Amino acid sequence: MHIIDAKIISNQEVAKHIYLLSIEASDIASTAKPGQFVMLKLNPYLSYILRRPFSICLTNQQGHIYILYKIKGKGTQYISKMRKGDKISVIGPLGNGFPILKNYNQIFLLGGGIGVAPLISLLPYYGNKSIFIAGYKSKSTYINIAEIFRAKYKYIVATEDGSIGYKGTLVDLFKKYLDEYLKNTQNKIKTIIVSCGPIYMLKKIYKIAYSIKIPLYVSMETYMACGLGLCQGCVIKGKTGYMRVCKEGPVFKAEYICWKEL
Amino acid sequence: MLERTVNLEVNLGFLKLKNPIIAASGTFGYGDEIRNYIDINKLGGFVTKGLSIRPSIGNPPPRIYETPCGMLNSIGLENIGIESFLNDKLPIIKDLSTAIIVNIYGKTIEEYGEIAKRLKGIKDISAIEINISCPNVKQGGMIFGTNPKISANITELVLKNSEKPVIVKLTPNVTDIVEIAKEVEKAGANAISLINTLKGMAIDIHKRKPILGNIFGGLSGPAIKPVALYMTYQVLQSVSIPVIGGGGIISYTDALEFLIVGAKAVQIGTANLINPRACIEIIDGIKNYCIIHKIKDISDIVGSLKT
Repeated sequence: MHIIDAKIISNQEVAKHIYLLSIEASDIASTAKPGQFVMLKLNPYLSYILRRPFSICLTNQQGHIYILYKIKGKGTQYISKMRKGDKISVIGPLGNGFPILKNYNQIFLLGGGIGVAPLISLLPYYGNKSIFIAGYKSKSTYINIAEIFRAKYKYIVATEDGSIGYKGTLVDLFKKYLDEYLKNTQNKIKTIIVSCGPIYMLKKIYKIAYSIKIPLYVSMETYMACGLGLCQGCVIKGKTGYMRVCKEGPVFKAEYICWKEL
Repeated sequence: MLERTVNLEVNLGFLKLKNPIIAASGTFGYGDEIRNYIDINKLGGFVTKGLSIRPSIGNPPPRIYETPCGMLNSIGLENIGIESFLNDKLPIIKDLSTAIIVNIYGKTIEEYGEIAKRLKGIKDISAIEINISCPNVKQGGMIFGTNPKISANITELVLKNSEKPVIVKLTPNVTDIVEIAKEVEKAGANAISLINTLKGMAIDIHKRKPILGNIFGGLSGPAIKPVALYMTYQVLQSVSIPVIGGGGIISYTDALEFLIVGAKAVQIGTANLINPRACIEIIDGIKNYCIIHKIKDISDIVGSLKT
C-alpha cells in the first residue's frame, strides 16, 4: 500500500459522463493486481472529506494507472474537472482482486455500465480466452473499450434501446450466448464468469451461474470511508457474517454473498 | 538558529504519553492492520475498536454516508469480542512502544465489569476507555452515558474490577455534559475523553427512506469540531482530572486548539479514515509550531488560553 501525491497525465470524457483518468503512480502500477482499487482524495478545501474508491482498470510500463469512472455525484464531478499536471492524493493498491484464472479455458466477463472498469484489468492476462459482454442503456453511454485501450478481444455489446449492438439487457444477451455455448457440454468444464455492475444485474447473473454450476466472481461497490479495513463501514452481508468490501473484497466468490440482503 | 528539540511528552498522571496524539476508537481497528501502513510507535497512543464480552456483528449496511464536512456512521460496534482480541490481536500489537488503550462497552452494566476483569493484570494494556457514548447500539452505549448515575456506576464497577486506569468517553447527546463529567470524576475516573459522535440522519429522497441501515447514525468530522471544542472547554472548567479532547480534528491546527483550551491530549478519529498518516502529520505539525514559536515543552501550550 502506498500513499502518493500523483500527477494527472490525462482526464478525458470517453462517453457521456464517463471519464478515463490516467495518473503517474509507479509504486502502485508496479504492484497492483487485477481487480484491486485505489482511493482518491478530493480537494482538501471542499466540504467533501472522504476519499472515493475506484477500480484500477489498467497499469502500464511507464508507471501509469488508468481509472474509468462515471460522474455520479459531487466527488466524481470534482475529479472530472481536474486537468493534466494537477496533483491528486492516491492510496493503493487496495483490497483483494480477482483470483488467478489461468486454469480456466473460457472466461466470461460481464460488465454492466461502468461495471466494465474492473473487468478490463483482466484483459492483459486472459484477454485471449475471454468473452467480454457489456451492457449499456444506450449508445451515448457505450464505452468503446477496444478503441480506448487498443485491445483486441471478443467484445459484445448490448444496449437497452438497441442503439448499438444487441437490443436488450446484458443478461438477455448473455443467456443467448450461453445457450449456444453450452450445447457442447464439454464447455461447462473450466468455464468461469466474472462480473461487475448494478446489484439487480448481479443477482440475475448469480441465478444463472448457480443453476448451471459455473463459478462466478463479482466485484462489489459500496459507500466506503477508509478503504483500509479500519472503519468497517463498507460491509456487505456474507454467509458467515459481514464482509468488508475494502478488505475481504472488492472481489468475492458470489456464493459467499447473501444476495437476498442486498 | 531555531531550537530543534521540543518535548512533546504529556503526563496524564496515570500514564505518560510520548506526545498528545491518540488515535480514536473505531478509526484504527485493533492496531494490527494499520501497523502495516504507518509507524504506530510515533503516536502517543491508540484506542482499540470498542470491545464487548462476546463478538458483535454490528448494524445492517449501509453504515456510512458522507455529509458536508463530515460523515455519518452506524457501524454499531461490530467487534471480535474481548477473548479474540486478547488471543489473536494483542500478541500482534503488544510489543509496540505506544500506549494501547482498550475501549470497552457492555449491553448491561454488569458486562462492563466482566470485561474489565478480563483486562486485569495484562501489562501490555495501558488503560481502559469506557464507551458509554456510542449512539448506534440498542442496548448499552449512549443509553448509559446520558444518565449521570449510571455513568458513575459503570465507572466504579470498572475501577473495582481492574487495576487499569480508567478513561470515560462522553457523549455530546445530552442536555448538560458537565453534569455527566462531574459524576464520573466523583466516581473515580482517571480521565475523561470527549466527544463521541453527534446523532444524525440522512434521507434518500428518491426512495424516501433513511440512507443508513440503522436509520440514524453518529456524525463526525470537521463539521462537529466547534461543538467538540466548546464541550471540551466546558468540561475543563468543571473537573480537575485530565481531559482528552477531540471531535473533528483533521489538522495540527485543530489539535492545537484543543490543547490550548486545556486538553492534555487529543483523539484523532475521522481524519485517520481519510489519511492513515493523519496522526503522524499532526504530530509533525505540532512540533513545527513549537519550533517556530520557540516553545520547548508542549505543557507550555496546554491550557494557555487567554480569555
